[in-house]
Amino acid sequence: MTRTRNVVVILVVASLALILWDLRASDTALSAAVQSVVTPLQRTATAVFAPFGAWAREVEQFSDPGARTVDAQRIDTPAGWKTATGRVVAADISGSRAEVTVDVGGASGLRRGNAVLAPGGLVGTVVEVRPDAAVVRLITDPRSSIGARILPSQEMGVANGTGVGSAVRIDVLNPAADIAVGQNVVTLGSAQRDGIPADLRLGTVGALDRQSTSGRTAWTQPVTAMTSLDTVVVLTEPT
Amino acid sequence: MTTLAGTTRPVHMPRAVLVASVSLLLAFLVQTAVLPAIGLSAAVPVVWCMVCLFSLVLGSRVGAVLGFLAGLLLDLTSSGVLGVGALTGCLLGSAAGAVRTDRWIWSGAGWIWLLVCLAAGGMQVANDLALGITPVLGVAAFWVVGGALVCTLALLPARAWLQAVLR
Repeated sequence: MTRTRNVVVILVVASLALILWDLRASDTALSAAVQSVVTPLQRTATAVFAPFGAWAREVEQFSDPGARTVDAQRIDTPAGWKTATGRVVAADISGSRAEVTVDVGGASGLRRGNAVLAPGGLVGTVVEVRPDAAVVRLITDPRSSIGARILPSQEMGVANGTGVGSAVRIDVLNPAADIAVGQNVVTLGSAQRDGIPADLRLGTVGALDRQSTSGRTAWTQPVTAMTSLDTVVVLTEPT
Repeated sequence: MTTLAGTTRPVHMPRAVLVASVSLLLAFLVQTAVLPAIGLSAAVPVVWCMVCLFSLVLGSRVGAVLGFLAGLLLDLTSSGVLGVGALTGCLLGSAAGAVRTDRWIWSGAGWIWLLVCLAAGGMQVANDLALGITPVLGVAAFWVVGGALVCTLALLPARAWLQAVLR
């Protein structure tokens, strides 16, 4: 009994030390090493089980680049960008965080900050790149913050994620902005940042909050369900 | 310790290590890759249920070590803070080892369900707070609570078999 207690106490102390170390140092080398082993396993598991359920698809199609091209054609990509087509192989949609792993990485030209598209428009940005995989932070993640513009009034705002399954909150700068439910929301884009080009669809205004005092708040439904992402296209660099 | 009355044979350690590592890795793959692939959620705490199962069979001490290692794997492959999952797993493993069981196949299921829900929920809240995010009770909570129940009921019947194999 005493030995059991000792073991538990040692493990608790070790965990607390890890937490402190991670909060201070944030070293990703160990995590990258583990993920380089785990991601291929996850990819295999996804490939085997993809034919069942919502992501129904033949296993042969999964490894067939031709099938990917057809699927990727449903995704509108802006002209003038090199693209990489990938597939979501693992999800980390725990708590309010929303990140997924895709099976393309640095070897395909991905860089941090690249825009990730699904049928309909933008779904996230690349936050971590490994040789043959990358982590995508979805626009519903509370840490995601993307410049947005509401059409047709061209009003600017910032699209902030509020968690998986929740609408994206757009903080509109102009308190008198003429916006209405059903209007399209697109990305602001910037010449400074090569990550997200302008005018990618982000979603549709689903609700307005008239109570806010500084500026206005619009709630936007993303272009596609974030929990059933499949094939995605990454805009790697302008040509 | 939660040995069945009369079973005093010691655990066959090499076999236990092998079976536990393979089972936990499989549970991890099911949770992070298979469930999302078939349209369910990665929030279903399959790994925690598996930790509890081994904790029931092997006792608090081994359960705490297995939970620690499983949590470490979850930490290293997710965007959370390293150590939060390890801490959760170690506490969960030691608590589940103290659950009293008898010969009914789903004996202890209620406690295991409660512990798994607490562990999964606690880990998410702790991770959210550590990253400076306000935790919200979202759709993930449904997956945690419902998924924990289904997983517990699915895994607990394997207890008798494990007890026979590992001792």
